[in-house]
Amino acid sequence: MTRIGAPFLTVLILATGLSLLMTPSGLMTRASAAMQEDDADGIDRIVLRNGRVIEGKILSETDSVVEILVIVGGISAPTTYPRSEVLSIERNVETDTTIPAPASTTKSDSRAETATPRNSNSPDGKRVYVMNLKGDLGRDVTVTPLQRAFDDAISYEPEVIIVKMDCGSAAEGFDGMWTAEDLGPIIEKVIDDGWRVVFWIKRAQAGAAFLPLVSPEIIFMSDGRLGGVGDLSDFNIGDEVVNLKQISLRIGHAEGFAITGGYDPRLIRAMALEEEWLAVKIVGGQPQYITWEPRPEDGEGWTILTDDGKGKNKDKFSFDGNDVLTLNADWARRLNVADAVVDLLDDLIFELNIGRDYTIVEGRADKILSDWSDRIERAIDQFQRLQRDFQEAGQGSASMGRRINILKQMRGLLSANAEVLDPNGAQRAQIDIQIEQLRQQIRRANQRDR
Amino acid sequence: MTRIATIVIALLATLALPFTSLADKVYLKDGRVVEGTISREGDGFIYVTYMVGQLERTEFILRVNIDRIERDKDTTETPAESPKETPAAPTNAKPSSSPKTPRPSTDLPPGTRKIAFVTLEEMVGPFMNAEALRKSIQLLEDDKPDIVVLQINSGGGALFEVQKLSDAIEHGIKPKYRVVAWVESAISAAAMTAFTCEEIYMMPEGNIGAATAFSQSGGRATAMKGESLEQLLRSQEKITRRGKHDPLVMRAMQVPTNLSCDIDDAGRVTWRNDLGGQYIVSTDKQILTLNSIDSVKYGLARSVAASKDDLARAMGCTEWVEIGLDADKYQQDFREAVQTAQVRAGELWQKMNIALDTGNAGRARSFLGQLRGLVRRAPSLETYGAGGLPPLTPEFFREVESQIDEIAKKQSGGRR
Repeated sequence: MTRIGAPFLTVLILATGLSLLMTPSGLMTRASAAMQEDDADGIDRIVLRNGRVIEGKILSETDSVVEILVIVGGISAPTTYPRSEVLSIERNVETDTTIPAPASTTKSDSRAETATPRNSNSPDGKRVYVMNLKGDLGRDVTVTPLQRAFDDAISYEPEVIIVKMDCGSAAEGFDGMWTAEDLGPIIEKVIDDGWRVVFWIKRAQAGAAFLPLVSPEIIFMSDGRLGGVGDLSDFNIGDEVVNLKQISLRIGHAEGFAITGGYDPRLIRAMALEEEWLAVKIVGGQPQYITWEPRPEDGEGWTILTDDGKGKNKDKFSFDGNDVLTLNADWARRLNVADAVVDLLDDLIFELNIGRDYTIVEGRADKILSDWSDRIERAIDQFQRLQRDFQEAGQGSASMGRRINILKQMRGLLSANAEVLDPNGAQRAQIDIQIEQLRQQIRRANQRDR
Repeated sequence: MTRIATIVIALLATLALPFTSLADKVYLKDGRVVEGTISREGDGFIYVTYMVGQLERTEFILRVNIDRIERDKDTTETPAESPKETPAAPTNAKPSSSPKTPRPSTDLPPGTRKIAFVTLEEMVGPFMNAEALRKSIQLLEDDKPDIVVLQINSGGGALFEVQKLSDAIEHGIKPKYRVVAWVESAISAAAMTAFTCEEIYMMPEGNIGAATAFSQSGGRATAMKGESLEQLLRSQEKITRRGKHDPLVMRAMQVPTNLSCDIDDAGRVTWRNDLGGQYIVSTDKQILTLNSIDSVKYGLARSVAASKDDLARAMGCTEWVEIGLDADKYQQDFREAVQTAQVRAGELWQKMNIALDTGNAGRARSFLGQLRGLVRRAPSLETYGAGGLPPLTPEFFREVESQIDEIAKKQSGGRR
């Protein structure tokens, strides 16, 4: 896959020496300016001995170091590499002719680039591993099954791991993000280790909307949706200033997802907050954003993605309005969140430039995930049955032993499924107290009997 | 994990070793296994060469960080210089530095920087705690790090701890070592703490800010106001100046404030407490939290670093080695002990009361003893309590014990 501007982006290079220029069209970094001037000549590429490839514009070279100007998220910085680390230098490499967008409008492939790409060289061609994430994050998809699913995927050394996503989150709305934060590092690690992970979005709703953003590659289905996190403006803990704090820190966390995968963090605010304006203009294939209602001096061609949701701007139907942003396939593609829109796996693989010589791996990920989901469902049913049994066991001293026994079974269930049912152990602690209470009652009864 | 992430490859090229097999396995104490060819060895170190795709990569590993080596010849060895050491368990006692392995600093290539990473995570106060940080730093004394990286991932916590943490950094670490904050998340009290450091680096997903002080009662929050707030703003301004950051930035993280800045051609940022600057960073209808990109753009952080290698490079260390693993292990054990205590303390307290209700003073004492044990392992409970209990001080325990004695006396009297 070729991505506009992506060759300039690596994640390590936000060093000091930031230099900013103002241009008629707004802020532009020194790097962006340099890149534009030199676009016709292509870029320079440094291959390091550890396998990393750094692309940008070489500023200077000595016998001991090479200084290269690189850019990430619209911010540029010169970075110096010792000659001893450099395996080779390619100059004026041909690239896409599109000019990188100004600050923070370009999707970064930083994660993919910093990792050393791995290849599957199986006799039956390149391996493609597909896993289905279904249900709710935090219940059907949690750390244990997701880790196992990716472990299985990696064991096949696939060319690409496709994560087909039709998910919401157990916690509704924006706060489902906290679950996604537990899961994100698993996928980040896989990508950092050099595996290509592509999210294929059918539904990424509530907390699940954040998870795909850790990957630099997202594909949408034609009816795909990513969003459903626009309830943050309703946050109310009883104090206006504390509300602002809580909203601010949540946005800070969520922007981290976007930055990790190389997406514009401004999209997060538009997805989360009703009062945020976001308008876009596509220039040279790249989205440019403003975060206010377009004014005459901003020029023509702006499309309002979200308005302030006030007065006449208030949506009548929240699921189909523009108070908050929910990405559909069309906008996901136009905003460079999605690399393509496809409905069939064959088409997806074509879009990923895998070639015709590939094999779909019959891995265990789907079974791992569905087994987990079934197990949790069974555990919940069983727990509820035990609760009924406990209530029906009666209050008399004769039933105390039986009630203790039921409590122990409930505790065992919670322990076995702690990741979903009792993550911090609080419920088990409560059960332990109840057991102790019953034991003491038995002891007292025995003393009375003596 | 010990790693020199750079130039050793060049040395290897001259050694021209055969890489026909990847037979040696080096098991590190951090759980990693490096599989490749041991291409060079010294008294305190080895080099392992392996292939990454089509490229050779060589990793420098200190023997003190090696658990065992499995050679091609199928022999297993434990490095002589690496006696199994159990990191100090968190206790009230001063951490002992005697069992630590001497660092083979003379074996390090010239110019190698020694970096210690100390993770500060979870709630400020009980978990991210000044006294625990001091103990970790004491454990570094033999290692003599060049740089101490405080790896912060916390959603905030007790304001009371901020000054103590800041003092621990300012007076306990800065005079000895170069101190760097590396932020995954520094919210509220954690952000206030991080501002003590001149050098702040961000992880890509990092965030810093939302430092509004508030209290909570019955699920309802109230932001700090009046003179208390003014005092807090003043004290935080002092902490911010310790890190040579602009107090206006911290203020916008604490209270809704207009904040903008100008950035000149050299990248210098000038802050203003109005909206007249080139960049509007926050308004009086917001509380400021900066993401990693904006932290760097506005000069609060120096760079974004996704990994330790990245961070070392950003800090100007071309060759580096990680030391002081036991200092961080102390933090990890400490947090685990606090976590256990958070769940268990309330449970033990209730069990103790049940035992008293049923006249079983002996059992009640047993539960109280277990509660004491939790505090020994997690001393921050003396200040912050746990499980809904007040600070678990020695006075608290004495008081409860005397009450148990009294109840026991009454009960035994009643029985007579």
